[in-house]
Amino acid sequence: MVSGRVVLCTNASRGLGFDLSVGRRNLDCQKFCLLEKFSAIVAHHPNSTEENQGNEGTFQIKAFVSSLASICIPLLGQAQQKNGRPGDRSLPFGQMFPKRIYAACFGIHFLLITAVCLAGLFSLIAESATVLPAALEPYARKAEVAAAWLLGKKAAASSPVRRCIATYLHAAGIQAGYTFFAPNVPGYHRLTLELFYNDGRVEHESPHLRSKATGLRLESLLDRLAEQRYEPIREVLVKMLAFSVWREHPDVKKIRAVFGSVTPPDIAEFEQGKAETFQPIFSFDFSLRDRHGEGQ
Amino acid sequence: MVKGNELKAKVETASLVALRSFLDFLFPSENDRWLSVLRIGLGLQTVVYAFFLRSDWHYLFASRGKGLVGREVGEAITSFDSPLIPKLSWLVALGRSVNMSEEAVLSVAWACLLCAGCFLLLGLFCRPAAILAWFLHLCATESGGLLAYGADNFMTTALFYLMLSPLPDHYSFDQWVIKTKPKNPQLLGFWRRVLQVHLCFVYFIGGLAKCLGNGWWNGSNLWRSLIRPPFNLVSPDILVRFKYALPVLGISICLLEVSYPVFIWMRRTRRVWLVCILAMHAAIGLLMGLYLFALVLIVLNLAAFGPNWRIGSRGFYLGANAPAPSSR
Repeated sequence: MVSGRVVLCTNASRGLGFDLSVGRRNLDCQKFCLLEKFSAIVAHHPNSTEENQGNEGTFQIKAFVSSLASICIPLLGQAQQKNGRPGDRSLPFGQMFPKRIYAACFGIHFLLITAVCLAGLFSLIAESATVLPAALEPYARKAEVAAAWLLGKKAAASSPVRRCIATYLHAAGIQAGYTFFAPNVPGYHRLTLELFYNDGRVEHESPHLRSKATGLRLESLLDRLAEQRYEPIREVLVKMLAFSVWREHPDVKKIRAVFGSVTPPDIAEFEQGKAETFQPIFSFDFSLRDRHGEGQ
Repeated sequence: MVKGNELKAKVETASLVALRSFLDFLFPSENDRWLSVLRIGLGLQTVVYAFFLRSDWHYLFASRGKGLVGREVGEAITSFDSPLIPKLSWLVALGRSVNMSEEAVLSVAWACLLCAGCFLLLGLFCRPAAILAWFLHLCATESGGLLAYGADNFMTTALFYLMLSPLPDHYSFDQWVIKTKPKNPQLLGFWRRVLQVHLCFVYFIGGLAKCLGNGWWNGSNLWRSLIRPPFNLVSPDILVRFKYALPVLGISICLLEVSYPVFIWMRRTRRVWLVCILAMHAAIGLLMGLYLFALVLIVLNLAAFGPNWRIGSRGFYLGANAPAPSSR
């Protein structure tokens, strides 16, 4: 039996990769052939060397991209696990970094981004928000479910996998897709608060922020209020918004909150003098009877 | 049998070459100028973010009954996703254990965010400043919940990458005071690649989604974007004068975004695409008032695909020998 050693080393000039030492006896013929081909690929590199020390000899291959060895892990089986040594011998200790781990993280990171982006895109198609034919909707829905599965959203809420993925997505700021103002720009939403005073006066007010620069955050909130998925907390949110206005008008007896969508005119309509139209979606009445400021 | 083995060998060789090319792509040698751009840009972004929210900070993030909607709602929605996601309530609870009021904790958090931004700008304690800025911004974004918008996500992503990148960079104060060993150029290259690939995803998906809407082909989406409050900084009367330009601009935006992952990598077209994208974001910032959104994307684009600026005796000039983002 031939016994030897194959060492895949790093390319000194490029500072890549890690070493891989395996006993040839641990490899079957096919795997060894692959290593020989790999050796042939990198042999043309100026830093490549090859040593053969007979039966106990060592083949040293300085690889053009030695991190390629990480890809050989499935082929080499357990051999690398025994003798593998991450890092680059040509670099100082502080500059070593495990490339295969970086590459794997890169793959996982962008797999998650792809899943998030595709889930958003398929969701738009499934909701008939695009110009694509309606026949594609069921397929888009299935694809959206598949992407959601990949993100762990089909697992139980308490599932550690789901939580880990969600935490990572939020920490990296990649939990939402990038379909801003797409596929079409919808109308906007408006929340009008009618303030009823004890003396019979009625005033109209809207929730507001102090700084105009942060005003668009409020618009973001109002747009979300209209979404179906926020329906369960809609009343609570509107109550809080009404309460924020009531704090500035403590003598108000009752507040009626009317939420609706605003459809702006298109260019032709605007030129004809047509104004925007307001379509109420829901309204709530809040009676402010509690002295401590709790809306009823 | 022999032919079968040869074919198999060829496939294996081809796959190895392909993998080698991929790893070459993933770990190019880079200098750290892009990291300087990212650090300084995000420092500026964090400072501007803190100043924009200065007057509304307590109003946005106070607990129920004191603020706009109270941070509990946003935090409850976030906690449904995962209770491990950082929130401002963690800091408030921590402050409570040392007898600090909620208001004091929020004030300290805002001050720390501002300081972290300033430190990033100067390059002082780069890594801790980047981690602090990322953490506090993430807490604010998650506690704000329903009040967050696109700029917040981009800022979180950018700070996340900055925090993990090999800081400090060459132009930071840290490097000036404590001469550290030069960073591994391939590690620098890897993180720039991550940023580059991420931007390609952002624009391709954004562009594709826009292409699927008919409103971007006839200019109506551009019109609707520019007249809806609070983005209506330009009078509709002025926009009407340019009504024939709106479809052209709409189509241009779609094509610019969807083709970004192709043309930004080509040496000949890179500069044109970069300038167009930067101009688009500058226009979004100025015409729609989305200053934070515009600034963070300009910073990300400059860091990812910008030229390798060098500080010379005559100011900034292009680094002649600097490696390009991609030479392929």
